[in-house]
Formats: sequence, structure tokens, C-alpha cells
Amino acid sequence: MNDAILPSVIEISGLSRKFGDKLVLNQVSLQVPRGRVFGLVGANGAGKTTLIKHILGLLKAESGSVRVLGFDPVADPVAVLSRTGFLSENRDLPPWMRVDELLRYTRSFYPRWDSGYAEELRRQFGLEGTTKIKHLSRGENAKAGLLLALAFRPDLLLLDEPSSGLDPLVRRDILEAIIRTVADEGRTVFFSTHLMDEVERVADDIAMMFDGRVALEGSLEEIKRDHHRLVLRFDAPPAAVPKVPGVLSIAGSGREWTVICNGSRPEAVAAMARLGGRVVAEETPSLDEIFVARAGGKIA
Amino acid sequence: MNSPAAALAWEMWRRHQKRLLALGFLLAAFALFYPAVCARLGLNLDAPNALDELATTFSHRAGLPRPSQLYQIMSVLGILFVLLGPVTCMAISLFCVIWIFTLVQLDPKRGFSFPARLFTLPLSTRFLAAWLMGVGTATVVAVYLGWTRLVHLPHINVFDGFSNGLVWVTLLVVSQAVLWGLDAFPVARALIMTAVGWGLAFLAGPGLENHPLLERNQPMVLWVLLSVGCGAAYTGLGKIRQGAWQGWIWNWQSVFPAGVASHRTSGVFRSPARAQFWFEWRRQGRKLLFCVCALGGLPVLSLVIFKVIARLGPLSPHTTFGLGLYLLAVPLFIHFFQGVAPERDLPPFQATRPLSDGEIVRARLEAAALSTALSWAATLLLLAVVPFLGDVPSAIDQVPWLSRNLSSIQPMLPVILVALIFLTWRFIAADLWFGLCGQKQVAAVPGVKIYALLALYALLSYLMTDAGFERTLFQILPFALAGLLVCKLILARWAFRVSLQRQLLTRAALLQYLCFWSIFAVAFVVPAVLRFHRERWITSLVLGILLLLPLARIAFSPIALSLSRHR
Repeated sequence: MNDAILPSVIEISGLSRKFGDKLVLNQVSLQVPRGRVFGLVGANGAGKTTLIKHILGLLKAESGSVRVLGFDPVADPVAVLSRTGFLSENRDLPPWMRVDELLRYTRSFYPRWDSGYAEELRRQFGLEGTTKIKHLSRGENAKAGLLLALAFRPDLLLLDEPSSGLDPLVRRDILEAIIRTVADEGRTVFFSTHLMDEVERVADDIAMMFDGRVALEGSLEEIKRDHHRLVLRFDAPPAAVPKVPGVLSIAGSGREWTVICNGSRPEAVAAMARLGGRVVAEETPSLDEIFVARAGGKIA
Repeated sequence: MNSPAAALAWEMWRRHQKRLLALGFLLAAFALFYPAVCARLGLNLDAPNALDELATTFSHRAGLPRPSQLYQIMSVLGILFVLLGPVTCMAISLFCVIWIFTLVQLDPKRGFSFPARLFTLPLSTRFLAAWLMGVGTATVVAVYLGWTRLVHLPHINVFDGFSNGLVWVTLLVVSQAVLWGLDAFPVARALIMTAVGWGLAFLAGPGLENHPLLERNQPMVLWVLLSVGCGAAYTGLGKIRQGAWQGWIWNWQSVFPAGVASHRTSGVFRSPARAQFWFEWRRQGRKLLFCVCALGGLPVLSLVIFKVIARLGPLSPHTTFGLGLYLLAVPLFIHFFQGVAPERDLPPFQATRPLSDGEIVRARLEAAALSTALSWAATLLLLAVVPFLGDVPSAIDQVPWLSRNLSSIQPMLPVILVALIFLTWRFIAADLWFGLCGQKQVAAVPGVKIYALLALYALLSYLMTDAGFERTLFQILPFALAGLLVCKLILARWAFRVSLQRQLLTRAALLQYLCFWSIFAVAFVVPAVLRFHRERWITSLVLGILLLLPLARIAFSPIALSLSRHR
């Protein structure tokens, strides 16, 4: 399959999944373009890891379809897995292996394994070749997993909560640099996290998940352009919390209130004016604020 | 629950409730019904040695009309089962209680270790150690008294040691000392535990009669061991609480020069399949070989050391025979229990290897084959030491049937050995798909199979009491086995077809396994036909051999793995 003609590296359409009575994924549709960094954010239990398992073919779609690099990951797992680097949230590397054994074992599966790059990463991460995995700290375990996922220069890098266990220095200076490098080389990164500042720094596109549904999807630029943080002032304190249509969240007290809204700004301002409020300040909200605003109302 | 002691007791009870209730039920069942069962079978429980009762029982039956060979074998096994039942259950109960009070739990990183969360409770090490040793001792004594006082245990000479309560208490305390004190050294811990088990079995066993000095001082030796064990357990618990062993990373590099370690890991695997084979061998195969070597090698090594240093005389023919039998049984039992142990979920690290399901299954089967072959090679080496320890011809004379047929068995030895190796491998291979499917209930089936076989055995024993049943059985058996064989072939064909369609298996791998299967079928069927062609049950034997050679279940393995890998 020629990658150049592929519109998206990951194509998910109408994916649903139930565990018992619980609907974990509900009609999820996503397109991840090639050469982009895609951040998947969501609260705990939103369905991020379940979605990643579907992308890897570890779960079979109950309804809908998943295609990765042009293949069905369940029907042809070897074709997908041989081009996908994966860092598991569970840090489940075999505890009995030494780091150098782990590298030797893993390289056998990937013809494109770059030994020089692997060695460079090993030194950069400060991993001793003779140390057993079970003697690594949680952070070192994450570094070892990241090394394995990166060393064969995969077409798709799939990271499930990559920051978990990593110290701020490694997270900011190494992980983010690596993610950017991978994307600059024309490869694709798909990562899940709940650290909004991290997503804001590295992601080109994001999707927000709530209760198994994708509530928001688009480029970071678009999302930030479409959301507004407005500070309202009323002449007299409203008797109750002002009910403004189209607003994601509203907080404050007395005469001054802060509103997060999306969509057309003039319409929101007009609606607030009808309630007697006027905009005294306006800012672009942070991704964290947008997430909290959307999580509060679980707006789809 | 208003004290730490009561809270700990409650926690242990909640954790092991079902297990403890089952043990209590077992004790009650034996106390109430065992004498009645023995009386019905005509066994005298007050005989000086219950195993002699076996001969007495059969001499009484000698006059009865035509007891067939099969019926006799089943009856002997049945009575042996009844005689050994209470002693075995008592041992299992006590081992279980000892394991409960060591409190070790399986930690993914640290293996079996003392739960660190208990160290975060406001309890002193002295209290923890004293509580576990004290309550553990009380429970062991209670269980021991329950079995020895409430159940009418048959007296069996070789199990005399089981009726020594001090041995069980010593085993508890020494186990606690070894498991806690050597928390960071799992290999050394396994070796020392095996040595301790053998040492205590020797101290409690009938072999002590040959060593009067040791026999006279046995209680004193046990008390000394108990006291040392108490001190070591307390010290060990204190050490792991303070993390004293954490820096002691025991690896080969500390034993061998750095060059050796780097050489071992510098090579590149020829293919992904070779890498996966190495993974499976290191994950499981090597462990099985180690268990076989430790369980078989330690007693042999101890006996050799005793013989050389303490100038121990030759082993009695009875002990020599027992040792040989034990060495032959170890690889079979180790692989059998590995085969019936349900597998856990496939971790993402393994599930995301870019390998087909068939290649993963193949690597497992190959690793099992290597572990089996090396385990038997080690067993043969250990068996070669037995003539140095005792007189083998006299040992063989202990079983008149064996000594009578030795000349006809000897030419069959290579086939018997291959059959044993194959049977050992089969324990893992044939039940692989149950565990691979990732369903807890299905994975438990191999374990349940043991009970099903016992039930079948009980049913057959009952039916055999009818004189006409055996004749009917021999008439029906070939047809039943042929029917099963046809089912097996149909299922295998279906499973292989599905595997090929779904690309779980390559055609080359399938042909390889079919060749392997055919070679083994010929290798076992031809000698069986040559040796037993005059017997009326030859057809059943041949069909039985073909049924035992795994085909359909191997075919199901990639499908099962696929189900678990892509749920």
C-alpha cells in the first residue's frame, strides 16, 4: 500500500464498544492526517485507552471500522504492528529481561531498527544495558518503553499516557523534542494524555473525549480560535447565575462573571447584553480551561 | 475488630476463606465417613502397616471367579487411593496453612514477596513476626491435632514422619525465615526451600533408623532448627522492612566478568521467530528446566555429599527404587502442572509483537519441546548417579513384575524414553489453547480435567464389579475410540482451514507439524503393533495412541490466541 496516497494514517468511523452494560466507546469517528501530532485528551475512564487498543487491533470493533496505515489492524496485525511504535500505559515490559536483552529481542521484529539511534536514546535516557527491567524505576521503565517505540523509526508512533512517571525535565526536554522530530520527519504521532499544557505545546490536532464520545475534534489553532474567554460586568449583581445560551461555562459572583464560550463571538456578546452584562475583557482561553468548561457540562 | 491482631486475623480469614472452609470440609468428611468407607472395602485401619492390608485384601479375593488383569490393577489403585487419601489430604492442609502464614504474595516486579503495605501500618516488626509465627504455629498445631485425633489415619510406615507435629511447626518457622530473609534472592530462596524440605523429610522419615545418633537426637535437632528459624524470621522481616536487601542486585555480571555478559547479548537473532522462541524459552522453558534440576538434583547431590563426606552406606533397595521412581516422576509432574495452570492475559507488550498468532504458538511449542528434552537429559544424568548410591538390581527386584519382564522391556527402552519425553511435552502442548483463549473459565478446564478423570476412574471401578462389564467394554472401546478419532480429525481439519483462511498460520508451518505428527504416530504405533499384535486390545491401543498425539488442539491454539489478542 502506497502511503503517499493515503488520506489519513488512522481512519476510525462509527466505532462503538460495550464492556458488559457499559458503553465505553460511542460512535467514535476520527481522522488522523499523516505527518501530524494528534493529541487525545479526556478524563479518566473517557475511553482513551480503549480507543488506542482498537487502533492496535487488541480489541475488535463491535460496530464501525478502524483502519490504520490502510490496513485493518485485526485482520492484518503484522502489517500494522510492524510499522507502529507503541508505548503502553501499563509499562508491561518483561521484568526478567535486561535492557540490552530487551533491545536485542525487540530489534529482531523490525527490519528498520536503527541501532545507532537506539544506542543514542539509551545513553540520553541514562539506561544501563545490564540492568534488569524489574530493577528500573517507573520513569526509567517508561524511558525504556519509549526507546523501543522509537528506535525503528515507525510510521505511526502511538503513545498511551507517555508522561506518566516521567520527570518534568524528561517530559519537557526529551519527550516533546522527540515528538516534534518524529512529526518533522513526516511521520505521525498519536498520543493520549490528561496533561493539557503538554498537548498545547506539541499537538497539531486534538480530540477531546467524554464518556466514550469525541466531543471536540480539530486543529489546536482552530479550537483556540473558536473559543473565547470573556469577563462580563453587570450594573447590579444578578439574582441567580446568568443563563447565557451557547456558553460552555460561567463562573463568578457579584457584578463580575467569567464566561467560556465557543462559536460566533458577536452572537454570544449580544445574548449577554440582553441580560444586562457587558464585556470588559476578552482572552483566548487555555486548553485546560476549554477542557474543564466542556467537562463540566459534558457538552457534545 | 478492635485490635491490630484481630484485624490481621480477619484479613487472613477473608483472603483465604474459601480455601480454609474447603480444608475444614475435607477434615470433617474424613472424620465422619472414612472409617465407614474402609470397613465397606474390607480394610483394617488398625493394621501395623496399612500397605500390607493391600496384599491381605487381595489374598482374600484370590478365590473369587476370574478377576481380570485390568480389574485387579484398578482395584489396587483404588485401594491405594483410599489408603493414601487421608495422609495426602492432611499434608495438603498443613502445607496450605504454612503457605498462608508465610504471607508472601505474588508481586509482578518482585515475585513472591512479603506485602510491603503491612510495613506501612503502625505495627512493630516484633509484633508482626511474633503474630505470624505465633498464630501460624497455633493453626498448624490445631490442623495437625484435628487430623491425628479426629481422623482414623491408617498407619503407613513410609509416612511416619507426617505424624510428628514438631516437624510441621519447624517447617512453618523455617519457611517463614527463608521466604522473608531471602526476599531479594528468589533463586537462592527456591534452592534453600527445596533443601529444607528434603532435610526435614529425611529427619522425619523412616531412613533415620539407619542413623541411631541422629534418631536419638531428632527432637533436639528440630528444637534447635525451630529456635534458629524464629531468630532468622524476625531478623529477615526487619531487614526487608528497612530495605536492607534492595541494593543487592544479584546478576550474572557480579559473578562473571563483564565480557561474558556482553557477549551473551551481542548477537542478533536470525529472524523474528527465533527471537520469539528465545523469549518463550527465557520466560517459561528455562524455569521448568531449573525446577526439574532443583527438585531432582538437590536430593541426589545431598546423598552424594553424605556418601562421600559422612561415609553413608549404600541406600536400601527400597529407597533406591523410590529415588529412581521419584527422578522419573519429577519432569512429568513439573510439566503437567505447568500444562494445567491457567495462563494470565496476554500483556500488550507480547500482544503487540508484529508476529502472526501461529508464529507465537509455534515459539511456545518449541520452547516447551526444548525444556522437555533438556529436563529429560538432566533426569537421565541424575539417574546415572543412582547406581553409585544403591544397588539397582536389588532395587528392581523390589517389584517382581518388573524383574520378571526386564529382559523384554530393555529393547523397548528407547521407545519408552521417547514416549515419556513426548508425553511430558504433550502436557503443555495439548492444553495450550485453553489458556491462550484468555477466558478465565476456559483456562480452568485443564485443572478440572483431573477431577473428571478421577470421576471416570471411580465410575469404571464401580462398573468393573459387574463381571460382564469388562467384556462389553472391550467390545465397545474400539468403536468409541474410532468415533473420537474421526471427531478429532474433523475438528483438526476445520481448525487448520480457519487458521489458513485467517492467515494465522502459514501452509509451510502446517505441513511441518503434520509431518512431525505422522513421524511420531509411526514411531509409537509400529513398536506397539510389533510388541502387542497378539493381544485382543491392540486396536484400542493403536487408536488410543493416535488420540493422545495432539492434532486438533494444536490446530485450535492460533485461533484461541487470535481471540484473546483481538477481543
